[in-house]
Amino acid sequence: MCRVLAYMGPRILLDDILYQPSNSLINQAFDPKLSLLLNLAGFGMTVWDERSHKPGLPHTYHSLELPFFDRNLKNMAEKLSTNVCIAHIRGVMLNSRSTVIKTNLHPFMYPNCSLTLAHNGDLKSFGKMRFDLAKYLHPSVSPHIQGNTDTEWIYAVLLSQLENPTGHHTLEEVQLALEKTLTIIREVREKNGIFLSSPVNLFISNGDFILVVRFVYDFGWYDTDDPIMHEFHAVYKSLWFTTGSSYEKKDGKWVMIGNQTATDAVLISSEPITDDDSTWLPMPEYHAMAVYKRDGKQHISLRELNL
Amino acid sequence: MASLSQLRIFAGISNADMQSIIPKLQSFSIAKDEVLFYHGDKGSTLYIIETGEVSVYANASGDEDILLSTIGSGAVIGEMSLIAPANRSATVKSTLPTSGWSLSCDAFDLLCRQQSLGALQILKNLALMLCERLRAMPLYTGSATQSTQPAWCFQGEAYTPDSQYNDFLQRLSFFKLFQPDEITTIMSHMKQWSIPRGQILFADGAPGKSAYLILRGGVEESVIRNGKKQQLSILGPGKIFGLLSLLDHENRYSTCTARERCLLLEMPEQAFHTLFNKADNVAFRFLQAIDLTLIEALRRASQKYRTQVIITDLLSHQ
Repeated sequence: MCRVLAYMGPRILLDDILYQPSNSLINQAFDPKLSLLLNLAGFGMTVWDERSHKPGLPHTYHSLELPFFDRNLKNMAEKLSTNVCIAHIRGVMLNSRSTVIKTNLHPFMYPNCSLTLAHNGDLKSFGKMRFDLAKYLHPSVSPHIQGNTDTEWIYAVLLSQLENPTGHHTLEEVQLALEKTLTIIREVREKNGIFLSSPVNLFISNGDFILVVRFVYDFGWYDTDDPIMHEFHAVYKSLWFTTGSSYEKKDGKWVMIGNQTATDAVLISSEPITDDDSTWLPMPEYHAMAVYKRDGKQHISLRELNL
Repeated sequence: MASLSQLRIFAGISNADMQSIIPKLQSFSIAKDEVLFYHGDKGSTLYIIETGEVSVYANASGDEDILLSTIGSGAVIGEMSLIAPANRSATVKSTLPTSGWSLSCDAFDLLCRQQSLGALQILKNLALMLCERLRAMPLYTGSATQSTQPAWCFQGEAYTPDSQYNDFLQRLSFFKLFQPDEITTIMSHMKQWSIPRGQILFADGAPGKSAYLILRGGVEESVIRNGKKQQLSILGPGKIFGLLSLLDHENRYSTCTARERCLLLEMPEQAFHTLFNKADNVAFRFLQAIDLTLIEALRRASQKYRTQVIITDLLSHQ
């Protein structure tokens, strides 16, 4: 369910990462390669451009229109460039119990907050968790909750673990808040007797860094009442990345250019965005990866989440 | 043709049983500098080189291909594609005029369905060859050859497998090839364990007395290198681990830990060999499932190794 794409690197036309690659995020709405479900419940993106007016403020876009039919999105993608972005297509169960509304679209970003968050996962029995999670919300954060997704609550709890939810935060502060958030969720799950597999692949950014998480609570504990979901929970939810100097079209194929140790451009995605995945790497399970700048150079770091 | 029985993949097959295999072999011949197959091509054929020489190249995007090895008479290429067709992981090109024999996965599948004893022996030989290749993977080199750790670290009681999971067994990857009554036969050899999160199951270098199938939960496979844990894989429902020690009687080459609480099915060594050495329908499917497990482990280990090398490189350049 859901597909996400994050990019940090030299300015690139949005069209070149959203539409052009052979397994682009937009294509994954109707033809994902590593997911059984379609992703038809809306599109959203948070886009920073260092050369735009007020570069610290991102451009955000959310639409319930199917992204491959969305002329506004295509037109915008052909005009706008980005150096940091997170884009998301939402996938829900294809039945009338799913709530397909605009306030459920990722990436979430509350007014005056600098952090944005998108999610590819599913907290099982989330309805049972809300009451206990509410205790961890900061009074300045809770009034902003408008949708009914687990993702928005993860975002709200994450913001609430920061000393000042509306401030601008360092990577270290957000990493700490993230680990607190994941621990709170584990404790609330245990308190409510929720022990079924629940993946939480998270994509977080404030324009200065991208922090991604590949994590599953109670991995492998599939629901014995729901044979369809068994297939989802028998494998660890995928998350891939590729690094280089720049992302370009070479010999008709989109690929990272440059040697394998270059991290000037980093793409992270639920699945490789090209059919040829030979330059993509799977991110290790139970890990968080950060892409950040220091001394004018872009770096990545990787740490295991022993939560 | 007479030399075929000298090849490891056909080892132990009687002349009479070879007679059912030989008609399935197709001859092939390529000129010097001709490509047998490219990296990324759909691979569904095993090749046996009788005369000549070929070079194997790894694909490195954006750069020249890397020469991995040059092999000649008697070499077997693409044995994994016999039972698990997948895209070729390398390009093979002749350096001399080359000829030999090929066996397609469809032809091999037919031999298996006809319960050819020759095919059964190929499945066994393949398991042992894959086992050796896994042990030789760079990820595992430097594994402890012996440790004082017990064969099984968990202090608890095993019990008879829980029947509430019967409907799910056929959904688990290891059991997908089996009929329900065949699963019942295999399950009669198994014991069930309920393991808490974080429990070490067995350690690198410990003796191996059983293989384990994950019914529910997740298991982490790791090694210690330079005093630091390196995660090798996270295995989920339907995956089997601990197989290699039962095949080659060597010690464990990695440490397995319950990353999440787990329900495991244990197959003791004796039960494993009873099934491994049978010659009935169950034995065919059992051997195919074992080979598929090993092929998947090998492909996973190759990808993990590549990932680790690149990530180490990336982080060391920070």
